[in-house]
Parts: sequence; structure tokens; C-alpha cells
Amino acid sequence: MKNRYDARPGDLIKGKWTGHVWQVEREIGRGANGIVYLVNGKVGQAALKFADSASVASETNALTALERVRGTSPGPFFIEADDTEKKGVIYPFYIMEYINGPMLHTFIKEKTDEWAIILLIWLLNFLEPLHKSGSVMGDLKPENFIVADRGQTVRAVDVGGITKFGRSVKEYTTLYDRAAWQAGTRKSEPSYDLFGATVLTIALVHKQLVQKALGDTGKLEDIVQSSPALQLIAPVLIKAFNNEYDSALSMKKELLLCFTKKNTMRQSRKQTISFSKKWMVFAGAFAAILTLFLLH
Amino acid sequence: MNMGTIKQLLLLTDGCSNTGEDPAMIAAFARRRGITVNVIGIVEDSESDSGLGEIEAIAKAGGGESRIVQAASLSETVVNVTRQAMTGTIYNIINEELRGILNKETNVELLPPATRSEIAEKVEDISEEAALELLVLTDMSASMKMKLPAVKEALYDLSMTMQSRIGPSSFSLWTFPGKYSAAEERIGWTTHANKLAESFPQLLSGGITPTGPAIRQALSSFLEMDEYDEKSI
Repeated sequence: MKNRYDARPGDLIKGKWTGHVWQVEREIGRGANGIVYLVNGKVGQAALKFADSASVASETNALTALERVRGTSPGPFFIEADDTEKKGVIYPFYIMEYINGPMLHTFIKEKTDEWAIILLIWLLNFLEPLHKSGSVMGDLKPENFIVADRGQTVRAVDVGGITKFGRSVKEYTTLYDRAAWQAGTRKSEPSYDLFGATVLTIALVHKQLVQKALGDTGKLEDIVQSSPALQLIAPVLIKAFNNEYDSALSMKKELLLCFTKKNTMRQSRKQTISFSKKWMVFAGAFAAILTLFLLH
Repeated sequence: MNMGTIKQLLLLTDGCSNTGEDPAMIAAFARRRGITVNVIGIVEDSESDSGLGEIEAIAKAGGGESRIVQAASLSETVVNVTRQAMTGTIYNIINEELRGILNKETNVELLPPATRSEIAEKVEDISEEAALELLVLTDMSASMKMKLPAVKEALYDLSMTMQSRIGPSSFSLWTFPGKYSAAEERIGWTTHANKLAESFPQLLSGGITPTGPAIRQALSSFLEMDEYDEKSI
């Protein structure tokens, strides 16, 4: 990005159009097309993103479109767009709600691998209304999502990839991109996101293996089949690789079905274990009595 | 607004030209002819920055985008540069229209944010639906050897995005140095984006890097269609 505005904690940023003043608390994100700061203004804490004029304009459009999706936005609420001037140079920026929480890959570090399945369900909850509004998320990387509301929902914090159906996806990350896996086009449609969400889920547990497999969904299938955490939802994941789902809802339904099956299987395994344990105790006691008897 | 056809020349190289006229001058000529010149410099980890200034200069003169990247991130860069240059071209046209209407030095960036958002939506529509002519010009000099697989992959990746566009697109692939001239046409204008990667040559051409003459020659491919007289360059 040309002409980056580098702000330091404590700096004041004054909007040219609104006159609003934002005080920088700290930097919270940096990417190819912008820098995001945590700031304080009259409305309280907010996130401020500097980017070039065209990105600011198109991202604010994506944010307002997301808000139309339903009452609580699956992304950050858009507050306002503005420009600031420094040494004769104009820096466009926009202000959005600050969503606090861990990113997907940070969240799962402290949990068991099985949590990846829960995250996939939450991701599908996120995608469903977005798809209903006629757009895809596009860039499905774990850094773009935050587990919000004390671990109840997943919300997007970067909306640069949101693309209307029928167009070519605006932004993507190779590892989660359907075309890079040679599994379909880069056309914006629900199955594009469902493919990405699936790879994301597997990569949350087996990042290195997935990176090595890039381009070959056959290998991806092997990873799933031999994964203790994901094995039982394998049928759903494999169907998603093959673009067999056309809605997040139908994928979620089958996922939940698989998940409940898994629990019943576990229970039955537990029963066999306790059954054999009883036998072990019985056999041990018998052996002890026998030894005592022989010693006499 | 009729946007006509967006014309782009994408130059992939790894360093400085070493023979022939100044590539930036040729790029400026292309720009006047309505062709945007984008340049991507492919470097290795340890490589020095020599020749990278030229990359920026060519893109600046050609009204396009420039990036300097490692081979590993070439794919996403090629797609992003092509996309950004397309919106850049549309913004330039809008700016000219604005100047025509308001009759003073102005551009979209000076308008209030809400108006800019409305324009951005239109620009996105146009860039998705407009016709695109994209000529890829690849440096095949000896130092590019290790980078060619990455170039091929990037072209495959680019074709995936282009095939998903709504508007019609045509593509052409040129390499330089050519056997008998500065540059050689490898694939003539085609609407099949996948041909770029499929027929990408794996053979290197030689030591010299005649970037300027190569751009000039590749341009003829655009201009032939406009009944262009090559002598006037």
C-alpha cells in the first residue's frame, strides 16, 4: 500500500468531513491493503482502518450490505468513512465496531481438536444469512474471523473478499481457495464458501498437512480419514470438497446428524471398555486367589 | 457510460533491462494509446534491489500498478494487480469525466465518502462486466529459470479468475528475448484463458533483457487491431 499512515498510540486523527476526533490506542491488524487501529472517540472504542480510497469505498459498501443481512451484523457495524490530512497528503479511512475476541486459530489452540467441528457449525451459521443476501465471504482464512460473544458466534472482521453472486471472488487466500485446489471455479456461489470453510476447518487441526496437500483434494481426503478429531464428520467434509452442497443450511444439517452419530458410537465404545474392565478385575482376583492357593 | 475495452499489458520480469530503448518511455507511449502497463518484479530472498527502481518507473509511466514479490506469492499478486489496474483505469476515465463536468482539477478522491461509496459500486460493476484485453509479456532470460514454474502457476491462477468474470476477456502471451527479434508471440489473441498456462513454454531464450524493445513489439499486437502504423513509434 502506498502512502501508509503510520499512527502511534496517543495520536489524534481528525476527520476532514465529520470533524470527529479519534485517539489511537494501538495497532490491531496490518495487511496488504491497510492498517487497522483500535481507537477511542465520542462513541467509545472503535476500529479504524486506513486503506486507499477505492478499498475504503468498496469495504464500507460490503459492511453496510452485511448489516442489511439481519439485526445483529455478522460483521462489524459500520460507523462512518472519512479522510484525514497530514502534511498535505489525504489519507482515507473508515470507522467500524471493534469486535473483541480471539481469531479462530488462536481460539482452537486452547481447546481440543474436536472444537474445529463446533467452529465449522458457527461458520455455517455465519455463511447462511450472508448467502441469503446474495454474496459470498470469499476470503475464508482463520485470521478473518473472531469468536465473539464469549464463544457463541463467529463474526467476520475483514470484509474485503465479500463478492456478489455470479462474479469472480474479489479476495482469497490460496490455501482456502477452491480454484487453487483444482476443485472448481473462482465464481462467487455458496459452494465456493462451503469448500473454503471445509479446508479452513481441516487446517485448524492439521495446518502443515493441508499446506503440503495443496492442489490435491485426494490427499485432503486422506487427512480427514486418518484424523481422530475429524474422521466422524468425514462424509460431510468430502461432500463439501466435491461441491455437493448448495447451501450452508443443508451442510449444517448433515453435519449435526454426523455429530450426534459420533456421540452414540462413543457411548457404545465406553460400554465395551467398562465391560472388559470388569473382566480384568475378575481375572486379576482369580489369579491372586490361585497364587495364594499355590503358595500354600 | 460506454467503457469500451480495457487494455492491459502485464510485464513479468526479474530485473533490469540491458539493451535497447528505455522501457518507461515505451510504457508512456502505451498509456497514451489507452493501454495500461503493469509490472511485477520477481525476486529471490537474498536478491539485491538493483533494477527494481526500473520496475516502478515502467508502471508509473504506463499508468499501471507495480509490485515486487517472491516467486511463492506471485499467483495472488498477478490476480490482484490485474484487478486493481482495471478499477484504476475506470477511475481514470471517471476522473476525466468529472473534470469535464466540473471544469476544474478534481478527482473522485476529493468527493465526500458517501459519494465515493456509490461510485465504487458502479466501478465494480463496470470492471466485472467490461471487455478486457490482457497481454502477458514474460521475461525468459537465463536468470528467470528457477522462476518459470511459479510464472506458469500464476498464469493458471489468473485464468481461473478471468474465467469467472462476467464480461468477455481475451488473452495473448508474449516472451522475450525472441529468437530473431526482441519479443515473440507465443499465443495469439484467444478467449480461452487456460491456454496461457497450458502452452507456457519451458525453454529459456538467452542472456539479454531487451525490455523496452520487447514492450514496443508486444504493443503492436494491440495496435494492429486499430490499424496502427508501426513506424510512428
